[in-house]
Amino acid sequence: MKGNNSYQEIAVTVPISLAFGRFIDEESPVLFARALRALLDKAGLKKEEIDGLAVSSFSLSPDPAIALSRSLGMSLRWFQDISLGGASGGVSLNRAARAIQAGDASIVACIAADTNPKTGFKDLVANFSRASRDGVYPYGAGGPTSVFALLTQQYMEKYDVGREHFGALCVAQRQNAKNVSHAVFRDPYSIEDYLNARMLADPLCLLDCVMPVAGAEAFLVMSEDRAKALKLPFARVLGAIEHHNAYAEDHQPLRGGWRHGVDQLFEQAGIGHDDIDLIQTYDDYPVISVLQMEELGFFPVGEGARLLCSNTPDVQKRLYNHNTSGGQLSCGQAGAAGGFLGLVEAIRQLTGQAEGWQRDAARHALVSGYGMVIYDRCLATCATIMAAGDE
Amino acid sequence: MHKNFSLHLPQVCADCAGVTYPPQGFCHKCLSEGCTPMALPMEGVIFAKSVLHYSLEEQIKPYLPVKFASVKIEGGAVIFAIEGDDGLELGQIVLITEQDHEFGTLLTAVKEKI
Repeated sequence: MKGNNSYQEIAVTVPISLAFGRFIDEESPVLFARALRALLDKAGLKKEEIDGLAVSSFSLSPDPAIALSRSLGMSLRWFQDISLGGASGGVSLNRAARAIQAGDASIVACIAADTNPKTGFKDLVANFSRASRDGVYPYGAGGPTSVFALLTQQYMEKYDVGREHFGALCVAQRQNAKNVSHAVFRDPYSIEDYLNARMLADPLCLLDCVMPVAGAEAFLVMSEDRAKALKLPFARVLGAIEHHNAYAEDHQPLRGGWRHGVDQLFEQAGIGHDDIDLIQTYDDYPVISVLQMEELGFFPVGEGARLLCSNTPDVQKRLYNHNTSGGQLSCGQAGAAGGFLGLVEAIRQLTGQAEGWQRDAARHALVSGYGMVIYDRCLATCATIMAAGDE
Repeated sequence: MHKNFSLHLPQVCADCAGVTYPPQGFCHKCLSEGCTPMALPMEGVIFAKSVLHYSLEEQIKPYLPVKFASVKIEGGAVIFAIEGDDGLELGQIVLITEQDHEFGTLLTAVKEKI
């Protein structure tokens, strides 16, 4: 298979994370406006200098996404609606980078935001797709937790692991969140706390599941020369892949599109697994983080959960450098913005802006995404390798 | 009693015998629109199972916990079903039937009668 063209000369910069708590009444365009304002303030740009916009959201209805160009007062040469849930961040970056390389835009703002009124999550889940509405939701109305309970149970049965193996990952992520200013949950807990937590859908307990919240995440994509001229610290894109409905004939697939592209991804990046300092996985449920790490080659397939539970220095280091903001398990899931969380955190770390939780050795990061649970699987997968801009 | 949820039967394609679930009016394999609902009861194998201890719907909360499973049916599709009998195990052959539950008429997995 022919690989992608390179992403050279592309800069990713200005990481923005805005947390608004669990429930808010403001509509999503307000959150987009706050995120755009934060991007402009931090970058020292005027709104008119941004000519590309990629947006991700589940809560813009009744507006189409393009309505944001009017409400935000932007005149754009390039626009994309990339509402791919947990894959929104990586796919937005891919498309924006190509637009910059093609000359279709000079600066692209990638923004994801979702509000969360009190019935927002239920309303979203009940009509998320025809297949989920007709084939999953009537069977108890557990939402995505029903689907991922079955996937987790399937993994546990197939690879003979227990809840405690997933618990280690959850405990480590909460530990990572203790100094993170935008995290919703920062108090550490023990593996005993995890094992005794309230069960939601066997084998998933409360601490396996992300809290729906309101929030916005954003970043800018531009040429390296432009970032340097603006004196913005930036990260480089070394490689990127995406694949959608990768195993169409599987049922309840315990694999995703990462496996299709992992060799191409590392070949394009020109580095190996040992060079990756940070891994940011999409962590709506711990089994999905494990699958991403396995399929992207950090653990043999079927051994990730067990190995992450071992107390060796290498594994402890890997957990410390995995989902360094605490992930969605600590920051909550702000709809499509949850799909930006890991990417924005990686930019923050690679540009030395994670004040209070900075990983000093962060030079290379891998960010993976998994989004849009439709019936028995998520359909959208992506992965991106980035390097610090001065690399 | 409020029953919000209705039954959706798997569909089989008259042209390629592909089975699609939930039904969608065309075959996911050959795209033919010549699909018909499959008859119940049908045989299946328990693929994965869980017990739901919470629900997003107020009308379901009084009936928790809800036991449910994914079941691989003839033709290869996987459906969701309520567990209608106690003691169903992974890999067990079951019958998929239509049963009334407090919150809807739903596909339900029961033991095969010997």
